[in-house]
Amino acid sequence: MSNDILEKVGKKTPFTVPEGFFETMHSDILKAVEKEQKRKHRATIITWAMSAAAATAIALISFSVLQPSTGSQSTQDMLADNNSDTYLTNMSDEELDMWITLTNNDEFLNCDNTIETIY
Amino acid sequence: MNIFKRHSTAEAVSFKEVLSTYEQPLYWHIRRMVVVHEDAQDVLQETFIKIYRGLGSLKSSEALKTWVYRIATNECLRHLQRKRETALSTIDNGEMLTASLMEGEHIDYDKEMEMKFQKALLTLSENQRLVFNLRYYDEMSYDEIHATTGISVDSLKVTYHNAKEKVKHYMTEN
Repeated sequence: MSNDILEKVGKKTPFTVPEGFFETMHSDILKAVEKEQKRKHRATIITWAMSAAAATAIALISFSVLQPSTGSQSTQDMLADNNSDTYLTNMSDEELDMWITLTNNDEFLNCDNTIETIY
Repeated sequence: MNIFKRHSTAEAVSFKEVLSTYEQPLYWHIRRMVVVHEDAQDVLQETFIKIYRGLGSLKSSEALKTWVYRIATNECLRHLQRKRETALSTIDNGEMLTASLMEGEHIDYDKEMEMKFQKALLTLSENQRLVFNLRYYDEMSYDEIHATTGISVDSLKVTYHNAKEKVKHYMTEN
């Protein structure tokens, strides 16, 4: 059998679209992509802020652990001095929240506190 | 800064350019696969969001056409798979799509020959229909279809031949 039938039908289809569909679709896609871009941007900022907060918390904890013990200053004392105050003042709200959460949940810091209270 | 400008290693490709070039060909490709206009609209939007996400990692702009078609095809197949899974009845996708074709909106029922041709296409397997559409309507070379679907060129030739014969048979017998 020849390709007559295919040639007769050609590439036409019975499918149609509503009037102005492609114009609307074009702007709808651009809006959807813009939304997606904003979502991606927000996610990047949150990831960055969380990483920075975690790094800060680790640095603070490491500092308190590696500091040679003089027996005269507790972790709380160190945080209360001027340098730490300046450091904390410079922290963003998100970093501060993260730091407080980590500090509250930190067994080492809380354990240290308990020992000081007992003795 | 143009928020839609994403740079590949080969050259800068603007998302807006891709959208303008491919929105209509991709819509028709998707529509022929999923039949229902509203479904095609959803699949097209999802396709372009995926294109936007991946455009930066596209190695060469030469592969752009087959890459966008591959994304659209995967989205079509995913949509049809979901439809199959959520269907309450046991009828297959071909029957379901034929029902949509017979009673859907945005279909010109006066075009009898074209309607019959689409019904003939819906008797094909999903794979046959995909290959037939890419070759017949989108006029892709076998190499391009291979890059789009991952099916070997030899298999594509056989699939297209069989699909064509089946369509011709349906058209003469019905």
